[in-house]
Amino acid sequence: MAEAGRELIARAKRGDRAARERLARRHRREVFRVAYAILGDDEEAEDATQEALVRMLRGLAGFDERRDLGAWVRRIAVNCALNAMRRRPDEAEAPGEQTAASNTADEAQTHDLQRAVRRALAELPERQRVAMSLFALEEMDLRSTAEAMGCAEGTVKSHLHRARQRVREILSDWLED
Amino acid sequence: MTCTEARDLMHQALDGCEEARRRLEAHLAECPECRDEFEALQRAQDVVAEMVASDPPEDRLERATVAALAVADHRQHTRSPWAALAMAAAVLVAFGVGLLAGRAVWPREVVRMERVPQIVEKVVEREVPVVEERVVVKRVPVVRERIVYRDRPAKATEAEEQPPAAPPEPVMPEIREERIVAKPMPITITQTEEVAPAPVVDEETPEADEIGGEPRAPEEQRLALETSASKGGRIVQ
Repeated sequence: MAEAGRELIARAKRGDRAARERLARRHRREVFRVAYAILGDDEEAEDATQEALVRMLRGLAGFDERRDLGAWVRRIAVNCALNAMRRRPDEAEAPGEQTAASNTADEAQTHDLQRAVRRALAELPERQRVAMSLFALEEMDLRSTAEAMGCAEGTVKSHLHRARQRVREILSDWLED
Repeated sequence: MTCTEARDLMHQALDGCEEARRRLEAHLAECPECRDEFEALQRAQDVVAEMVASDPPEDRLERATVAALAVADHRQHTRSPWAALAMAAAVLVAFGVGLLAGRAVWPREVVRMERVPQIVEKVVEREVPVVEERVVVKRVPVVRERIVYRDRPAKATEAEEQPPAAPPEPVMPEIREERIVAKPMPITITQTEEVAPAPVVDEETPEADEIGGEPRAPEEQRLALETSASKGGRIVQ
């Protein structure tokens, strides 16, 4: 599998259009999930996914196929998502603030909890928010989060502990019921 | 294990450390406060995981993939060696054209020239009619005049009448200006005896009076003539 992956990367580096397309399709889902975890908006995540895939295809020429392509692509996705988040107007409403019409009391409570979580994450420093969002993804662990953020695992631990404690304090009314 | 040590283990367990989770479970079974705290932290991480989890829509994934491939392929073609060579040649041609036109291709300070009105002095020579003035001397007949001063009673002038209370000033003989054309008077003197020539008296000749002293009265002139006649002279008019 790893050998097949390296061969595919080598073909893509030589300009094989089919190999390039296969690589893009193979990694587009995790790119989108990372972007959405940081941005929280489908449209912005789509734009960030497109930009990340373009960067991946452009950077293939200088990529060492012995390295983990997935980690490198997630790192690109994090940077594109952060760039998109920094381009937001200051006064713009944070994505996910809009609530759909709730039909039941449970749905209304769920939407209120989601808004509360969004506000709690928005109050965190950027590195803490990114660390907690990426680590919360199912496929991410400490190592992959550290690779995606471009820092050491110890740094990610520190970010995670502070972020987790802060969110727990902000959502105390919701979490202690 | 103290509660402080248990708090540190809580975060390690939530980070995914299984060893820390096993050690913590024993303390949580005995400490309800730490158990509640750990459950709250676990819940906080879970709600964030629920929030960031997404099932990417296939249409969005396909649009992003197709667009990325198109953009990357376009950039790849434009970055080929031949494309770079063509672009370099285009830049050189543009630079050469710019030099020929007297302008550099790269940005530089631009001095704008504006047309402003300017006053220019210009000397224009034209032929115009000139009126020449000439002084023409003509000989014209001139009538010589002589001025003879005669005594006359003076009249009071307006200046002397003002003011009336002032004492009257002595009346001075008025000197009137009268133009008298001298006429030659034929005088024939027949001298029978050697007597002293009688002076020729011209009543209208003022020189004698002016030079000789006081002017004579007409009566005195007549007596003088008779006297001269008695001395042998005769006046023939």
